[in-house]
Amino acid sequence: MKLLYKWLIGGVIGLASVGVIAAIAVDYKKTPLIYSNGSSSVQPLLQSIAKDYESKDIISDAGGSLTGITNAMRQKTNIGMASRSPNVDFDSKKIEGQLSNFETWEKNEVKTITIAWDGIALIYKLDNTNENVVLNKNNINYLLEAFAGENRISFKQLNPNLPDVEITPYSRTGGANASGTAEAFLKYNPLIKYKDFKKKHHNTYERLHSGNYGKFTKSTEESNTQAWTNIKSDAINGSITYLSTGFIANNYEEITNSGYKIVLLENQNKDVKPFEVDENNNIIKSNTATTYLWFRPFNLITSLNMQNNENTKTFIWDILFDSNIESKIKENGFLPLTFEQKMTMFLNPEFKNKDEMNLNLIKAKQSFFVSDFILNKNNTNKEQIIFGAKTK
Amino acid sequence: MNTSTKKHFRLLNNKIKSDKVWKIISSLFAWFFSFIFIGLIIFIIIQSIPGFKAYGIDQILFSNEFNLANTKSGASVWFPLAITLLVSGGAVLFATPIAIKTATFIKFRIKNKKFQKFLKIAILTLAGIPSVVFGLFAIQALGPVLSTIFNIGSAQNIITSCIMLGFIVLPTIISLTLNTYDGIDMRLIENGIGMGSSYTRSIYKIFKKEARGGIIIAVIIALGRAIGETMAISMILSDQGYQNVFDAGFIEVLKSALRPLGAVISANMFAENGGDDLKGLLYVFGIILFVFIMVLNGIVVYLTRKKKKKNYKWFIKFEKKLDQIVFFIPNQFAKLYEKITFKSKNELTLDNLNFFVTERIQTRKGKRLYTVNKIFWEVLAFSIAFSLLGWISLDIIINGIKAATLVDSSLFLYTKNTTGQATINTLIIICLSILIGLPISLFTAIFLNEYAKNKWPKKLLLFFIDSFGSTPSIIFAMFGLVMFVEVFGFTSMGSIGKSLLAGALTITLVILPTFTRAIQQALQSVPMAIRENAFGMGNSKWETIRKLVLPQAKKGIITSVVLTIGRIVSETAPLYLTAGLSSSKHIAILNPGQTLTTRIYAQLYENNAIAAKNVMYEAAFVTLWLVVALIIIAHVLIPYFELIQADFKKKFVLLKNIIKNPYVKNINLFKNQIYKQKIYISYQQAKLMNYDYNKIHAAFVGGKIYEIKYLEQTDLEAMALKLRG
Repeated sequence: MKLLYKWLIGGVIGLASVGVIAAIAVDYKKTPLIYSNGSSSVQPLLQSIAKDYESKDIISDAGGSLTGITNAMRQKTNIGMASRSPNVDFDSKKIEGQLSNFETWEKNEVKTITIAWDGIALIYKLDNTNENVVLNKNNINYLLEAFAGENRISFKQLNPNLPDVEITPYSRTGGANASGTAEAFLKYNPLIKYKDFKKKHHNTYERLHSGNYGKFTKSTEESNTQAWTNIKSDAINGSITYLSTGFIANNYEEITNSGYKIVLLENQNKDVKPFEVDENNNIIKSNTATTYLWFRPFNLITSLNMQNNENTKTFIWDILFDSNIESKIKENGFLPLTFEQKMTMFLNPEFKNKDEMNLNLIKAKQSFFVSDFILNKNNTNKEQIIFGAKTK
Repeated sequence: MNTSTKKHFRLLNNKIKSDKVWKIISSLFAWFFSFIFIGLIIFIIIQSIPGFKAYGIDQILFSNEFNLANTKSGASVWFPLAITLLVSGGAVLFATPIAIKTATFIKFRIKNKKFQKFLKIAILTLAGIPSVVFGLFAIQALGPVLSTIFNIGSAQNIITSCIMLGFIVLPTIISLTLNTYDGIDMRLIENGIGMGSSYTRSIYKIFKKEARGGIIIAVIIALGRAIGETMAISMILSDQGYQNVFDAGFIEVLKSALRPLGAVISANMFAENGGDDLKGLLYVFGIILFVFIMVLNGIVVYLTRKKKKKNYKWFIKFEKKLDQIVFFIPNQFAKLYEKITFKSKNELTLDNLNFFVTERIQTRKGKRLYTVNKIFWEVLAFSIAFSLLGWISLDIIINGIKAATLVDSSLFLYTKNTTGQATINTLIIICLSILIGLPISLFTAIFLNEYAKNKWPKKLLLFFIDSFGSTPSIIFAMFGLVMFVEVFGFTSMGSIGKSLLAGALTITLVILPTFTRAIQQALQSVPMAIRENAFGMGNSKWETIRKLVLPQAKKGIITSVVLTIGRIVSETAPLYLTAGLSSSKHIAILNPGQTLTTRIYAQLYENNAIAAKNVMYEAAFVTLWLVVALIIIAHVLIPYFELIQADFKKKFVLLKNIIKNPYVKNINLFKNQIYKQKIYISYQQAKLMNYDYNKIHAAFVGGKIYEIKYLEQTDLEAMALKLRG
């Protein structure tokens, strides 16, 4: 009798807990989920877009650009995020250094979509001077050498008007191999020619690429927040590091109040800031991708023939052409693409403006959702092929 | 055979049967446990093959270079391994003395039981602070202070991380030590005092010796946590330029921000351009770390085992000589001290031993010095531990309240990426993983501690468990990702999704080793005599376990559950890989979801540093209260619930009796004879009312059931007099 009661009570409790678990197991509202995965720089932007995106539920996880690219290509996720263009080599038929990737890319009809530009800027702390640090084609090699960390470089070597303070560079651990920001710092640098630099300054390139820095370089974590916290808490005179301009724009007051300044870039004999600021420290205009040319693309990669991919396509289309999302991108400190830049991702870029495109929406979507391979089929100069949007 | 013997025979048979059944069940759990971990080992080995192929054993083991990006150059594992040893060893060396002294202080010097309980709960709470929060605290508050003290010039260095890791393991060691203390017979101290020792000396010379085994396990668990800890560490330590720093000398190493092996593995697992070769190499590192931990645990177990001196006479001689050499100077000091403090008129011989000892106890100068010395260190350790832990909790509470009262606080929102939803998700994951993990750990521990007769497999399994406890959780996480998401597809989107369920299963893997070890420790602390007595009374093994061992070990098991919850709350990597870094719009087990810790972690990549910091503190603040709430449930509500349960049981039995047996109604006459839920009626009164006091044991008075207690008239009167005062 007693045993019976015990089993009864146990059974009821067991059933109840199973019931509760079953009740919360499934989402009854059935909002379609879209998974995205990849670069930790793109991830916060996509999350911020997703937060106010009503009809679909976008899940974004970090894991590095390469993970994003390969997962999207292999249809392991709906959208891959990358803070760089995929590495394509049409001569040896390799993508990201592998032959098999090239085939998969073609087979799965993969498309790269650029959703925003992000500038790369350097911040530095230099006491007792009003002179700005300006980088140009002549002194950039000194700076990169300083970041490689083998030799001590002084600010005076960059510009004779600057005080003779040694540069203390803070670089991302693991170099371009491990960090997207470090890669952008090297690869998207407008003052050097990447391939020439690789050949001419092989030692410096190797150090910056592999993260095998010399003893004068200090290492920081990958994320902008951690890199900034690190350099700020050390507060060394002469310290310098590279950050995403989106991060700098969002934390402009804190950065300037801590005594840090932004390095200017020389472009056509003008010293350019990544963005213009009014007297109240409000950002009024971004120069990224117009005159300030040190920037990288934020790319989404998706396989067009993946099953049930309609939701993904709608979402990507909305990112590019929904004005609310465009202002959201600006809010995050990044630069949305111009209409002309968006058109470079179309097979037939026949529309002159948005209104014209909206009249022929079906045709426009057909022209947009074509794979990278078809898009670049007629491109004769195979060496210069870049997946994603073009700036010109 | 008469009926009674038959009945006995049947009972005995049942007993043997149920014992066998439970033995098989517990061994099945142990086998299941072993299979999971054998699977894990196979997984790691398979994953590591590309690493072995690309880099080669030569470059991993016999090289003095460290460059992960280039498969042609060396990737010597020894550099980060040395840092691991330095950082975690330093942390444990810093924390262990403080923790043990603090535990001793709480157990023996604080007489107020309520205050003692409060302190215990406070410590358990601190064990549940996510390590990311410790990392945050180390960068913002601890690092700058230490860098000015040691004049380092950088807030992020190995010294800071040692002390921070010390903080992280401090509560674990304190509460596990207290657990061990609770399992030891307090009469040992009385024995000591009876032999003429002082209270303090009895604690240290007798009681603590007995607790030795438990303390060692506590230190091993803490060391495991320190080695396996990656999140907090990789927030502070980020340098991989080993050659440069090692060339500059040891002091530079201490000042540097070099990464230990666990952080190298987890930080490079998703390198921007890593690829399969680098991943493979990291798995190779994982294997090496695992072997290293096994060796380390082996050394610790060997050094601290109970010595079997009888077998090796030469060894004893050797040990004595060694002792004489090593302790020559300390021994001389001890002799000198003895000479100063105590001078006997009589020479010590075998005959006057008694007299000599008594005299020494009574007349020795400075006999309180030992006590004062010990108490001084205990108070110092206690105040260090609590001021440090108080510092960090105040930091969290103050900044947390600030953040939670801001306009854009999402504390009570349950939509996408809000602190409210993260709290619910955390609770779901805790419940699920404890629900799955507790039976497996409990039965495995029961099998290991109670049923396993063969010593070698038991020791081997325990050894493996200890080593798994310190494997970086990212390796479990990768296994969970492949197993629960890619193979089984436990998500709403099949193999491309993430889900709370997959997260809970993965975190279960992470907690199993330490959980099992802690429960086994709790079972072991139940005195052997209890089992022997129970067997002597004719109980079967299972009956003994269920009715005597488990209730005795319950306190320890609850503590280990709470510590495990702390671990679940503080883990990051297994959760963000399988449960996702961002939440879905609606809470569901098969949907992805942020937990509080992954929410904190996700903020590291946010672009608005100030807003991110606020969210971090808000989530940390909630975590703190969540842990406090769970601990209060475990330590206060469960015992209270048991009282209610016992009361309920009593009433249930009464009700059953009433249904079966006759009862009386309407005895309003005796209404004023009710005392503490019972009616006291004398035999005379019963006779008067024609009650059969052999049959009737219950009464209905005013709609309530009361048990009737019969007693003599005189006793009743005496009782009434006594109650009236």
